[in-house]
Amino acid sequence: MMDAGRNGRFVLGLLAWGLGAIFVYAAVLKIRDPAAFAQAIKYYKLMPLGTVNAMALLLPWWELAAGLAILVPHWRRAGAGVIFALLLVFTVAVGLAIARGLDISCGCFGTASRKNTTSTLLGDLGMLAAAWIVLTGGALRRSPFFPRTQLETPTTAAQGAAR
Amino acid sequence: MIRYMRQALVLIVAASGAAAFVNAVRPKPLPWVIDRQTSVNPGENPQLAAEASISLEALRRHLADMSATIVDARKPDEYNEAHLAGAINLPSTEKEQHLDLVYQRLPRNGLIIIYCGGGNCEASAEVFSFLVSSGFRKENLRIYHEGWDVLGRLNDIPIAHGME
Repeated sequence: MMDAGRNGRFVLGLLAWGLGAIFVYAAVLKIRDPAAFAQAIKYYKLMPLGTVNAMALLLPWWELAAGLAILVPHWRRAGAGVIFALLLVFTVAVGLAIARGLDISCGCFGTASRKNTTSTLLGDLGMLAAAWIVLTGGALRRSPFFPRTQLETPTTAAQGAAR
Repeated sequence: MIRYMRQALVLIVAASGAAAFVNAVRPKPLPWVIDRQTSVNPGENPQLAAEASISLEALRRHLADMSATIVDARKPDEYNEAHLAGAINLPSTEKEQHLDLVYQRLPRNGLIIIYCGGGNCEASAEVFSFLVSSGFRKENLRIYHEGWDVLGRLNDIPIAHGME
């Protein structure tokens, strides 16, 4: 028999560490070269020019703080919340860039960034889902991603015992 | 719920403080608001962009008597496909990795003409600002704003392929 609670916590921890690692890595690359990130933001043509540099200076640090917080159990939900909010903004920005046919680098990982494609968008959506799961962690068993029936219905338990 | 929101707020405030501190102690801090005076981007500083621009006729003259150094600010693969013969590739995306080229092949006191893809390409403006911050004088730098969009269609100027 699988222990649903323990499994759930394991999956949550895995997602949190994955998101945390990605966010810390992305943040450090951008913090090292804020001017390059400012340029990347400029290419999206979404922000007024006056705010571009401030965004380039602040965003990576928010990513870093959230990426570290999600690794600490007591701060996990807060970190996941900030990551979810940031990802929402990134996803909309990348979506708009693709929709408007802007041939630009995503800027996500500093100079190591690749060009924006639908796979960038899919990656963002995947991380959004992961952040949502971590954010709503307490409600894991009720979440659509882990249907209660699959994990611990009496029938499956009985089948397991019968075998 | 309130607790998490308060924690998130603490995260944002603390991170913003760290951002301000680290930027302040950086050797070359990024200004919080773009200084339009040093930018050659037409959208940010139309006056300097106009002063730095060069016409196709003037570009042709310099090509004919080889009186200017030409810089292609596009990506290496675009440069390899085709570029103005004699142009030096200084991709705006990896200009920091080409410092040797900047200091060895670009003349300190000669005219340098920069072009990129054309249309709304910003690579030339980026390379322009980069060269100014590397010690080149604005007066010696020009941008051909129409870029490869126009140059690539001309059939009376020398074009080269591959690396140079």
